[in-house]
Amino acid sequence: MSTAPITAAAPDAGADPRAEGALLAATDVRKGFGLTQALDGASLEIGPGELVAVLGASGSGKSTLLHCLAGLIRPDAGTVSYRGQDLAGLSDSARSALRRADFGFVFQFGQLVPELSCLENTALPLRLNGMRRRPAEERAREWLDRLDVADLADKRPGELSGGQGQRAAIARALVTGPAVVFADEPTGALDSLNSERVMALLVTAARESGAAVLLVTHDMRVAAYADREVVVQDGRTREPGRGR
Amino acid sequence: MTDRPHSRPISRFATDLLLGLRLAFTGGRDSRLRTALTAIGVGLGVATLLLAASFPTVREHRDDKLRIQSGAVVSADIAPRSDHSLLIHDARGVYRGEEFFGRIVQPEGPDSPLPPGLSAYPAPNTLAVSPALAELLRSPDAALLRERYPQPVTGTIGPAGLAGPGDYAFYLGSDRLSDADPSTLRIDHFEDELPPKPVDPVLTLLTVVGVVILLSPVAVFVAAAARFGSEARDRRLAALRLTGADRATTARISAGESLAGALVGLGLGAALFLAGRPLVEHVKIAGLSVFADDLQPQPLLAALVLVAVPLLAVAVTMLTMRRLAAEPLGVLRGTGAGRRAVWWRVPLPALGFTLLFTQRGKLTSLGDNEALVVLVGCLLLLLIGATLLLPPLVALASRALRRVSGPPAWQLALGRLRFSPESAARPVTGIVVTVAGTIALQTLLGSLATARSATPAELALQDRAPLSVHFDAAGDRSGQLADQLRRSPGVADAVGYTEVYATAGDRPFTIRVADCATLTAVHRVTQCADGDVFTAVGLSSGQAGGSPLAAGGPVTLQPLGRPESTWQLPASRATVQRSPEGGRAHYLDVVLVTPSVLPAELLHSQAAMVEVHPVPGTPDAEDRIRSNAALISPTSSVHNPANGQPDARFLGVRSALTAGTVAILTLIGASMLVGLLEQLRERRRTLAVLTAFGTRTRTLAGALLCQSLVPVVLGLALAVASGLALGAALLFLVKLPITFVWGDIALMTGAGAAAVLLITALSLPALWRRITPAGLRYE
Repeated sequence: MSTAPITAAAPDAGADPRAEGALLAATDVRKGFGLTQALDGASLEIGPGELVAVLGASGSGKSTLLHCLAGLIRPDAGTVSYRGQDLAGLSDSARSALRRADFGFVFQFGQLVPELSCLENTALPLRLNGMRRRPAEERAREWLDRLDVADLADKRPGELSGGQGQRAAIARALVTGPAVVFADEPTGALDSLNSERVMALLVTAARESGAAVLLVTHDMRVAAYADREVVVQDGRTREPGRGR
Repeated sequence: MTDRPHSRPISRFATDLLLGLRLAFTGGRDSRLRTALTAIGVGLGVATLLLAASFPTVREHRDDKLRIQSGAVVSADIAPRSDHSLLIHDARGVYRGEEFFGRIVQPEGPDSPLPPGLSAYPAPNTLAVSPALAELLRSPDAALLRERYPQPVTGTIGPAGLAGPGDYAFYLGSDRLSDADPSTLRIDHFEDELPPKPVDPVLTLLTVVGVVILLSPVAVFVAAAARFGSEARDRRLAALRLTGADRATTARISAGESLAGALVGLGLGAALFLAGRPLVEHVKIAGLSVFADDLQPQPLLAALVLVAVPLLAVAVTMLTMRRLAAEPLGVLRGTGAGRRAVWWRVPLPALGFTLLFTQRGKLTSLGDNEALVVLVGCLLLLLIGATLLLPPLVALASRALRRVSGPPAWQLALGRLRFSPESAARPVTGIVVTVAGTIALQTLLGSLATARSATPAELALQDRAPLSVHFDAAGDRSGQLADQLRRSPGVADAVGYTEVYATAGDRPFTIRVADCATLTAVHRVTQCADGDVFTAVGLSSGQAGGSPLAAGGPVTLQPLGRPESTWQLPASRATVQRSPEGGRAHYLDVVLVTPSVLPAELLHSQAAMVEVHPVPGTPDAEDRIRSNAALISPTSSVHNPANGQPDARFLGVRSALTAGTVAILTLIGASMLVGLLEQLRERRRTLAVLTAFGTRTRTLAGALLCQSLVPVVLGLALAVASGLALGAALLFLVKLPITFVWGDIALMTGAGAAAVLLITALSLPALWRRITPAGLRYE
C-alpha cells in the first residue's frame, strides 16, 4: 500500500466498470416505514471500482436505498445481492461481518466516536476485525498520513474542523481495504472549498485502493465526481440517459 | 441575553433562571424529557428525605405512647381503692423472639379509667388484643401461643393504645388480681409519664453516624439527578452563546433548567411520599412498625428539604458549568480537569479525620449539640470528600489504563471514561458514600457488640443457663410450682426457690429459700435438714477468705410489698461456694435457708422463682415453658438470661442499617439506570454508526459494562479504603480495639458490584433498540 499523500484529483470518467459484472445490485427494492413508502421498486447496480452518485431531493429515499444496499436494513420486497449473494439470506451477524470486512462508511456528521482520538477512530474497524492494537494503529496512521491529517492523530473529533473530521472518516472507511464505500452526504456539512477537497481525496483514495463508491448526495457538484448518476424520486430509481 | 451591564446582579440571576425554567418546559420534546428524568430522580430522593424527616415525629409519637402505657405500672404514685381505681399487672411476654406488650386489668368501679386504645374493659378471663396479635393468634403456626392465651378475644386495641400497627399487645380481663401481690398496682389514671430515659452516648453515636451515612447518598443522588441529561442540555448552550449570551448567563440558564426539574421533583417527591405513606404500616423492622398517620415530616426538616433541594440543583449545575467551556460552535469540555482539581479535594477528608480525632474522649458529652454538630461535620467532610476524589481517580485510571491493550469494547469504554470522567463517576458517588459509610458503621457495631457481649466462656455458660420463671405471691409454693413445670414436655429439670432481700449493717445480701432437695442439687449442699441455714459465698467473700454472714446475727429483712423488719439470722451449718448462674459468676454472698426458717406468712407474699432447664434441642422449648407458666398463672413471667444481652440492642440498629443500605443502593441503582438510558439516547447516532460498520452487539454491550465497571471498581476500592479508615477512626473515638468484620465488608462490596451488573443487564434492552440504522437518519 502506498503511503504517498493523496493529491486532489479532478472529476474523472473512467472506463465502464459494469462490464466486469455487478459487485452490488438492488433489484426492485421496496421499503416502507409506517405509512411512508420510502422505496417503491428501486433498482441499482454498481461494479467493482465504480463510483456511482445517487441523487435526489430530501426524503426521496436515497439514504434508505443506501441502507438497503449496505445490509443495514432489510427491504420489504426485492433483492439486494453482493457478489451474487442475496443479503436477505444472511444472518444479522453475517451481514455485520460483511460490513466490517468489505464495506466502508462515510456519513455527513457525527460519525466519529467522540471519545476516541482520530487514530483510535481510524483503527477501530481493524480492531473490530480482530487485528491487534499496534499493527492496527500503524495502518491507521498510514491512512491518516495519506489523507494529510496525520498531525491530528491524537486529537478528539470535537477538536477537529468539519473538513478534518471528514478526512479522518474517509481514512476510517478505507483502512480495511473495503470493496465498497458508502458515502451518505459526505460533504453535507462542509463549505464548498472543503467539499471539493474532501471529495477529491475520497475519490482518489477509493480509486487507488480499487474500492467502489456509492455516493448519496443532493449536490450536483459533488455528483460530478461520479462515473455515473442515479436519481431517486418518489422511491424509484432512474438513470439519466438510460431510461429507468 | 445581552450583557445587560446596567441590570442588577440579583435581577439578572433571576431573569436567567426564569429563562432556563421556561426553556425546560417549552424547549421541545427533548427538553421536557430531560426535565421529566430530573424530576423522577429528584422526586425519589425527596420522598426518601421526607421519610427521613418524619423519623423525629414518629419517634416522638411512639415514645409518647410507650410512656403513657408504661407510666401506669411504673408510677410510684399508688392510688387508693375507689370506684375510679383499677388493678393492673404487667404481663409482657415473648413469642418466637417477638416481644408482646401485655397487661392484666381489673377495674374496681364504674369510673375506672380505660387504658389508651380500649373502648371497654375485657370481661374477666377474656382478651382485648391488637390487630397484629389477633392475626397472629389466627395463624396456623401459633398453636403454642393459643395455648398460652386460650381466653376468648372479645375486644380490639385501637391505634391510641399501640405504638405501631405491627405491635403485639393485649389486655386480659381479671377478677383475681389482689393488691397483696407487690407486682400488682392500683392506679386511677393512665397519663403518668416517665422521665425521659438517659441516652446511651454510644447509641447516640450510632444513630448520628447512621443518619449521616444513609442521608448523604440521598443528597448525592439528588445532586446527580439534577444533572440528568446534562450533556444534551450543555450542547444546547452553544446555541445560546450564538445569540450573544456570555458564559455566566449560559450557566445560569442551565441552572434554571435544572431548577425546573428539581421543582417538579419536589412536587413529585411529596406526592410519592403521600401515596407511599400507607404502605409503611405493612413494614416491620427489628420488631418496630409505624402508623401512617404518625409519619409526618417535622416542619423544620420539611422546610429544609423544600429549600435545600432546589438550591442544590442550582449550585451543582453552576459548579459543573464552571468546568465547561460553552462556545458558540459547541461545548468544549475542560481537559485535564481531574489532574488540576485534586489539590482542593484531598484536604477535605484529611480535615474530617483531623477533626474526628480531636473528638476522642468527648463522647460522653454527645448529648450536647456542639459535639453532635462537630461529629456530623466530620462525617460529611469524610464521606463527601471521598466522593470528590472519585472523578480525578477515574480520569487518572483511564489515562493509565490506556496503555493496557484490550479488545475494542475495552478501548471504547476507556475512551468514554477519559472523555468524561465526571459523568462516569457521578452515578457511582452515591455507592461510594453508602458502602464507605456502611462499612464504617458495621465495623463500629461489630466491635461494640463484641466488647459488650459475653466472652465465649460466658456464652457457653449462658447456653446452659436455665430459664427463670417468676410467680408473684407464691413464695411458699416454689417447690410445687417447680414440680408442675418439671412435668411439662421439653423440660429436663426445674428447681424452685424464693428470695428475700436483706441487709446486714450496710451490706446487702439475698436470702434464698428452698427445700433441701433443691439446695443439694443446685448448691452442692452435702447434708441438709429442714431448719438448716447455709452461706454460699460469692467472689467478694471468696477473695476475702470467708463470709461474715456465716456466723449469723441480727439482719434487716426487706421483703417485697411488706415493711422492713429485724430478724435474727441463724448461724450457718456450712459454707459453700456460690456457683455461676445466668452465665456470670456472682460477686455477692447468698444465705440459703430451708422453708421453716422464715415465717410462712412472709414467704407467701414473696415471689416464687423456678429455674427451668429445657431438654437441649427441643423445638420452641422457651415458648412451651412460657405457655405452661402462663397456664399455671397468667401473672407469671419468664426471663431468659440469653436474651437482653447488650449485643442484642445493636441488632435493631444493624437491621435498620441493612434495610437502609438496600433502599439507598436501590435508589442509586435507579439513578445509574436512568443515567445509562439517557446516555444511550444521547449516543444513538454514534451507536448507529458503530453498528453500520459492523460492530458486534457484544462489543457494544461489553463497552457499556466496562464503562460502568471501571468507575464502580475504583469507587468500591475507594469506598472500602474510606470505610475502613472511618471505621478505625470511630473505634479510636470510642476507645475500642480496631478490628474489622471482613464478612460484612465483602458483603457490602459484593452488593455494590452486583448492583452494577444488574443495572447493565437492565440497560441492554435499550441498547438493542438503539443499535438500528434509524439513528443514521437526519433528514
